[in-house]
Amino acid sequence: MSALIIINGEEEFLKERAAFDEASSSLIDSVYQYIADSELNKYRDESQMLLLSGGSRAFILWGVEDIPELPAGESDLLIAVAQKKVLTDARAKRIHNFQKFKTFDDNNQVVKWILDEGNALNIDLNDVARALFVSHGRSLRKISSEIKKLAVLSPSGGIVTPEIAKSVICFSAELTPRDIVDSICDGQVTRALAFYDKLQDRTDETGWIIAYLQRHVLQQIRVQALLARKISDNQIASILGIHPFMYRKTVAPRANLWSNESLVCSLDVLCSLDVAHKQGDDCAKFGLEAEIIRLAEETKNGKRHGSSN
Amino acid sequence: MIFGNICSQQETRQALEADVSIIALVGPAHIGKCEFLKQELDNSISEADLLEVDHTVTSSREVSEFLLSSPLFSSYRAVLVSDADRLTEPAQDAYLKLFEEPPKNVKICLILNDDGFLLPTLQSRIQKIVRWFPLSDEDMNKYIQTNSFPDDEMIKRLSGGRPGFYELLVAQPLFKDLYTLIMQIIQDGFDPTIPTPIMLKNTSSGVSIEKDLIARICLQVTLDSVHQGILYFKALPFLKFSSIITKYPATNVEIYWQRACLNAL
Repeated sequence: MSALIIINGEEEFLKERAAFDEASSSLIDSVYQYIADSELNKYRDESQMLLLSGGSRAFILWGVEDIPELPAGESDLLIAVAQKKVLTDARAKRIHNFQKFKTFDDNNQVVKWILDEGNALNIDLNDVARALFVSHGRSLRKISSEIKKLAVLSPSGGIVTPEIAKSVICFSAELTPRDIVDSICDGQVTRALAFYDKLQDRTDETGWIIAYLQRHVLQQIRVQALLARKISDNQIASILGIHPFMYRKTVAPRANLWSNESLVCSLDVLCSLDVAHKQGDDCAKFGLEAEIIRLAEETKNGKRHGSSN
Repeated sequence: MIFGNICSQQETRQALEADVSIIALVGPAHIGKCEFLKQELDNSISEADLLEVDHTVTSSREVSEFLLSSPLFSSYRAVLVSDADRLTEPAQDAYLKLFEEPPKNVKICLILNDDGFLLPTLQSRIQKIVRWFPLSDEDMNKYIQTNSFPDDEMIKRLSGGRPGFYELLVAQPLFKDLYTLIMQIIQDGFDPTIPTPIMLKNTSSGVSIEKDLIARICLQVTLDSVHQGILYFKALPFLKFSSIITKYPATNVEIYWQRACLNAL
């Protein structure tokens, strides 16, 4: 009978990697991929056909909501990668679960993962793990790519020093205020301020950062008002003028990180800082830092208590 | 043809004919000051002896170089500085030397909304200030009839005696809806899910007549809300909004509009 492997969780990169690892480690002759939404019927047709040559196949099905029929071949393998719903099935040979990594200051699972990746490649990343996280945030794909570069250049079993890392990795190559906003939404005060300082080091980017934050806060105010009306995600995305995929991936997870009062107050503060900055008042920078800290702390406290405002 | 301000027009003509080097026309925007001055200068001097500049410091250097030479075809050379109340301090300093010792056969004409923004040292060197005022109802009616515009009481009220605003309101009636929208927000509250009105989204960065008109509409809303007994502080955020978009033209109108609406709750 064919085998089933289920991959659940919210860390997309890890799910993808696990799917391909499972397919390649099973001595499979050929790998086929399908998107559950649009290619389920194609999967059904092709998986039920038996190969005349008798070889084994792996079928990777992305975005699965329910486990479909298993492939007909005895040595075939179905790798079901879940969308949002957590899948279980008694027939499953293995179930992987990649929960979203927490990134609190005192419990940073991304940094721990970086260290584990280093160990798997036989390099010591203790000295550069934090810097990698600050530079690339939650983007495990980018971090993994950088770690592979470091593994090539570092001696086996050796320690990767910051100098080696700086020579191969583009730290914050294209830094934008978006990195500050992402850090705020993650509740990462230190990272947000680190990005803020790096941006300001290049040139006075106060106006740009304020404008970015203003747009973000305004968008969140509108999202909260729309969610209160209990309308669908697609409609909300349409009203906001963004693609539904982008809304679900980047905007919706950040809804309710702050209270409505906090957001309105924040918009007021940012507008006042904008005017002060245009008047040439240097205090605008201090006010902006304070506001970044306030927003990030509020997110962090909200996540710790598991509450939504 | 310029309507209204007959005395101001006469005074300006006299100043141009007299031996006066530095003239300032002061009054609200979009009432015809700049158009009148251009007409008079076009009739008096050749195009080659007229220079029109804006409020930047590079323009002040351009003016100094222009005035170094004698008039080519006319009895004097003229410089027209529009939006002179937006002159930055460095630009005003650059003009100061010129104003202290103006060359012979030169007229420097400043167009301002408010002479209070000029440095006192510059103000004191202006030899003739001619004040202009918004048009009376009678003059506005003559303007409307002569230009065959539709006679609309609401537009007349919103334009506040400024022909430039009347013309824009006739051409883009959406601005009239802005007044109704603001009154509705003040009375009934604001819905953050409703998109920003299109005429606000389409305002370009920088100084523009559209921004001046939006500011005028916000002022009219504030006045009317007081007359109608609506709580004054509900209209204040819009007054603040209008002040910011005109004083700092580079600000994002949409963001400040949303802020005003949220503060009016």
